[in-house]
Amino acid sequence: MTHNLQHTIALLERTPGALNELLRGMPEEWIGRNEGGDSWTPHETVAHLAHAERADWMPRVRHLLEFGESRPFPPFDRLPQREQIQRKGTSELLVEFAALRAASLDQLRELDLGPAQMERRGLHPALGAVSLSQLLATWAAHDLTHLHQISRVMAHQYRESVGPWSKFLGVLQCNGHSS
Amino acid sequence: MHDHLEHIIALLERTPGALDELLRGLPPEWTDTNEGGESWSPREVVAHLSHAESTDWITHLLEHGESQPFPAFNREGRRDTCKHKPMAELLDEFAALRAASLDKLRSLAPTDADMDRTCVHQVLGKVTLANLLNTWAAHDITHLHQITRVMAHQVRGGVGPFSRNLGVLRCSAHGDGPGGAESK
Repeated sequence: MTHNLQHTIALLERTPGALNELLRGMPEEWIGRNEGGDSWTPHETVAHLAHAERADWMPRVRHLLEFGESRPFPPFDRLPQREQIQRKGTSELLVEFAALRAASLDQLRELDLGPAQMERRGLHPALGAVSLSQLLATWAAHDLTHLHQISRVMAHQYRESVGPWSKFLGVLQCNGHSS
Repeated sequence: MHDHLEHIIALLERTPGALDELLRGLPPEWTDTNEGGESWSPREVVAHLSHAESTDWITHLLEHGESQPFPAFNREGRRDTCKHKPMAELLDEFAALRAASLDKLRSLAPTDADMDRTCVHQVLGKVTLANLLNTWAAHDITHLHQITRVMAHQVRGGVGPFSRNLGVLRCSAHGDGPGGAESK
């Protein structure tokens, strides 16, 4: 599928509901555990999604449209995300993520982007020139990479208890891929 | 009822709703596309989940123990027929089957002693009821993991340089479709 704004929006508007159904009210054993070391819990991943929604996606879309390649995207500050992780429960973060997502999609629709704008380019501080189309496709793929991560982290909690079935469960062979 | 069972049920009762929120009404470009070749689409994975749901190995284990191995499981079950059903119907079907199987599990109310009871899997050998119930939950999760990977594959060409920051695009499938490992 080449990038299609309506398809991207269709996914973006569903992610908060899917996470809400999956995680709301879940026991701590599912949402508060990680894969060891500094790896993320599902709770921390939801905090990251909420923070990215506030600080990353629409601000970068607007930045790209305003400055093009003349000025790189501002760096993504992860400090507020860490603070939210400490301060807020998963349910609160899920509500926040859903509200922030709805607001960003309203803003995105208001921009009423056409094909010419989709090819406009901005400057990512690490990756170099990227098009608006790539940024928007990445927004959807970022939701999916974190749903993928959450499912892997949750499966990790049952690694031992599934016994001989572990060899049939692909998710237990997933090696993290960094997120 | 065994303590850990509530933990397993917490996941099992949420999966149909999560898949419903993710997939209902989503364009077919997301739900009916795969990772190439004979790999599975999200639609086929939902049908597979319903097929697995209608196979009751718990009762089999409790009734037969090791005297009779689990029957063979056809992973391709419902794969062809699902092509002709709307996604909404497939999701409704899975939710209804799951609700019924959880009712049944609660009524069986396995005890601590039951959790150690065993049966024989035709490929894996001896497994316990605890293994089976934990695998039921992990099976949901492996297919959620697969669905997100298959969907991400559809934008692989569209994300440009961002691909290196997206872990899901480096996931190598781990055999959770036909040709790879079984999933039940």
